[in-house]
Amino acid sequence: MVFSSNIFLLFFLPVFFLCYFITPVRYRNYPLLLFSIIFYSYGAPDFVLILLLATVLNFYIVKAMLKATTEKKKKLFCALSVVVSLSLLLYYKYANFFVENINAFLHVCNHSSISWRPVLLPIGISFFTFQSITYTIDMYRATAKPNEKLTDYVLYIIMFPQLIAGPIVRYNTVAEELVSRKYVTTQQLAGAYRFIIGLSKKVLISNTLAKIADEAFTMNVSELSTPTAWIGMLAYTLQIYFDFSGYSDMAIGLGRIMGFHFPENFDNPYTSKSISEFWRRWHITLGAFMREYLYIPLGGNRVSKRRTYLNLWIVFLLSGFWHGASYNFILWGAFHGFFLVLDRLFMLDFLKRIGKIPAVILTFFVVNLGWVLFRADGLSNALGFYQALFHFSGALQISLDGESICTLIVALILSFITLAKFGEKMCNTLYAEVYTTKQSIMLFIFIVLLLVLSVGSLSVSDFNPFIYFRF
Amino acid sequence: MKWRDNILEKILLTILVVILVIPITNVVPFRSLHGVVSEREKPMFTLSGFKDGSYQKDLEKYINMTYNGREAAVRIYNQFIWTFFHKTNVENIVIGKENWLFEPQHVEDYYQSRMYKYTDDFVAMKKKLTTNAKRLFFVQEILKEYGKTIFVMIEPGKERFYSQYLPENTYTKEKGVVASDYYAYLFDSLHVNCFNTLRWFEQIQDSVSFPLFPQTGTHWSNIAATYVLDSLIRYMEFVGNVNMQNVVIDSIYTAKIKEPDADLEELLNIEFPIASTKMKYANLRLLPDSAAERPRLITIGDSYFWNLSYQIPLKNIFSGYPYWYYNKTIYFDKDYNSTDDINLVEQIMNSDFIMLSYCTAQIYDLGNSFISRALVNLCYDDEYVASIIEKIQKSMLTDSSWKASLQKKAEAQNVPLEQILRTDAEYVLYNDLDKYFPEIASDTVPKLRNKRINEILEIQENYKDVPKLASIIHSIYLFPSWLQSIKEKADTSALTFEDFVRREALWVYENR
Repeated sequence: MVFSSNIFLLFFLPVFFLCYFITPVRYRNYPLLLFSIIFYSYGAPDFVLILLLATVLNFYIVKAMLKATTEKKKKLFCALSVVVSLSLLLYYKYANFFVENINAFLHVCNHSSISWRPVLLPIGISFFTFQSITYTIDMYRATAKPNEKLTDYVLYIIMFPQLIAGPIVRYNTVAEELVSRKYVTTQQLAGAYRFIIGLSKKVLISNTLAKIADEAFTMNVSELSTPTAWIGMLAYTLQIYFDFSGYSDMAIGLGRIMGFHFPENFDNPYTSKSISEFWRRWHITLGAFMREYLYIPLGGNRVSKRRTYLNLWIVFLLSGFWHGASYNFILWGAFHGFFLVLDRLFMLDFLKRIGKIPAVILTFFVVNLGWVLFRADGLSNALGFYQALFHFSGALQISLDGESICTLIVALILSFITLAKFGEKMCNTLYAEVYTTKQSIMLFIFIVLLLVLSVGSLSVSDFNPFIYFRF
Repeated sequence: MKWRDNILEKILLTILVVILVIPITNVVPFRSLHGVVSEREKPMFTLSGFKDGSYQKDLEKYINMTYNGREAAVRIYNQFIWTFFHKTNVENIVIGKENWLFEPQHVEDYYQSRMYKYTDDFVAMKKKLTTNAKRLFFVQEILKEYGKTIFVMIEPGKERFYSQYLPENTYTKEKGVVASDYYAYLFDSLHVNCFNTLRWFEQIQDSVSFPLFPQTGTHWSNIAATYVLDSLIRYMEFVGNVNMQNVVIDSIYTAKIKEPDADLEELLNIEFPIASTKMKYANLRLLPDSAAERPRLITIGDSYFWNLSYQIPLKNIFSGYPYWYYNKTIYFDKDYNSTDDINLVEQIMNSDFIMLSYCTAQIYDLGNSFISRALVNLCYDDEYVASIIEKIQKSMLTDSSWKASLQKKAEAQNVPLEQILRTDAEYVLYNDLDKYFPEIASDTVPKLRNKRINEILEIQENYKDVPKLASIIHSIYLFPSWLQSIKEKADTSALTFEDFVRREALWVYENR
């Protein structure tokens, strides 16, 4: 069940809110936990028990870690907890990939291949793993108070708004709110608005762009014309942003209605003036996780320059691999790692010198090229797609109707609007929590219209892909 | 904190909650959507279905189609994409210039690409049309022997008269066969009875003061249909040599648009009208004529006939007028039945006129196998046809792959294997008539006749003072439960099913 589906919007959500808000405040974690389990069971019925067992096991390992009297024991429990979380991820997400590669190697060496039944990827496994790890490490580092109640810990791990696609919520961010949270009407209304804005970003913009991107990326690359490749790449660049940021908006909005404050995940990433800045604005919680739990433990930038560059590259290779078990994702991570190293070497200076707008355009162009690796089906298709981008021949092979063109333009404007002052002001107003009466009513009408249009759109079409669902 | 604090936000939040709750309640009634909405059954929960995700998929589809308020959400969304992007989600509508709406098959016909829906080959299409026309001529000549008239009404297509509104750049003109024109040529040369309203519309289009087609409808306009009905009666009088009840147009007036003049627009399911909400209509009246006959007409064809039936109660003109929609479903008054459940010869011989009524876009499949079936059943005895079908069925069952595909088909359609076997065997038979019935392949009218014809005529002769008999027999065929009870009686008797139907009809006549 995704948020952008009528079953979630029109049935799960109203029933959940009804149960949630009729429950006395101090017991509200229980309906939230129950509905989170239902939500997860609906999407991954085979995996829910394993997930719950692993969560409970982790809770007690961390408890044991906290009670450990020696540093060595503490480290051992910490490692055990991380291994439990990572082993699930490794098995469910990467086992197929590793076996395929081993078999390919065996085939080259004329050995018989390993027989293997492919493992199905359970939804949200990557986010579940990261949340578990943050809890363990935060407890190990003693940066937050441990959770005393098992149910609250399980709730933190599998809370439905953020389990499927993030944002990755560090334990200390919501530790207090897990125990006690305030319900402020203005914040709840702002949360509802945020949810609906996210929904419309996903349904009205991303889904429309997805059709263009799909058409371009499913064509035979040898027949792909340059205009088609460019339009396809641009459409995908915008699709993935509105898809993922829309989903994050929905998660943050839902959290706000329930009194949680989840961290922001996007901050107008396409207005970045460098790849380094892009990664501070794109999937912010993943960047923070990687920095906190991988880059800094590796030595961060407190080591030699060469080692820093290597660390950066490792982090981005792993980040790419986290997105998916394929060479495309690894290369995509390496691609970004390469530009981050370039930033450190000379690129940042160069980008500063050429000015804001050219720097934004150049960065956007690099990001676009990166998304080709992310979207293309296999390395050879990605290579073919790159060739199509630059052989400069052929006519547009996609028929763009008014809706496609308009959506592309609107998506581009919205992606860059904060470059202008009025755009920034507009965004601040839209995401504010306090409005004038006039603003309130105008915004309310706009939001209701977006909601109805999104529900209407979902009702007339079966096409509702969600990119980050598989991560 | 006082309850009055943030009162506006509280009200707005409450309204949002109410909006979200509407779909799970049934308190607000919504105007239903136009068009065919596929019925979805609520999926049954099974653990295996839940585990493999199929239950969830079905449930989501079910909810997507059935939640309360869907009508309003769909209508608002459709209006949004129509207003801002001049677009519709309805697959079967092409938006032309200046908001003129067309059906895609009509646009394809205009651009000569329609025939490729039926065959890839230019020559094969011509051959198919020629064979069908020749067979129709045979049927016409056979029926003439019994005083029955069969004729074709070629209906005009909107695309021919308002081509200036067709969309640009969507289609390219291809070199294909346009069936309506080719059939018109064939009917002329073979002397097949044909009332060509397409040609007639072309002749009158510049002189009439009313639109032949509405801007947002697909069929001929109501007022054009009025003129067609009048001309149709005159044509039938001429070709069937019969005096019929005539109609006269008293006056023409302008009024709020009536069904089906905006049938395509209705399918768009949008809030605001896109064309003028007024159209011209005619006041029609029957001319008193005590000597007029009321013949029985069977119409086989597409949906244009509906519009003729809206103009005046057809029961005043015809003693019966069953409408065999694409030779599949029989509509008569408010009842309907399947053509699979009737005895074709019986129906034909109990009628005076048979009209094959097809528009430019649908005439590629003129008769929808009626012509072949009629020809075979008029020429060959029922038993002989049944034996051929049985042979084909046997060969289908001995071919293991064919049998497997039939079983798969039966499972997919949730019908017994026997039913699929019968349907497919008939399909094989009627698609290769020359192989199974060599006499039909010759260039002269077949001499053979089904012995059942004489039996029917004999009964008609015996009961000629019972003019209602035919319509009672027809009524029996319209009630499946009645038919079933007769079938059961026939199964345990030496008499045939048809004999029992006639006996039942007589009993009804004599007792009621």
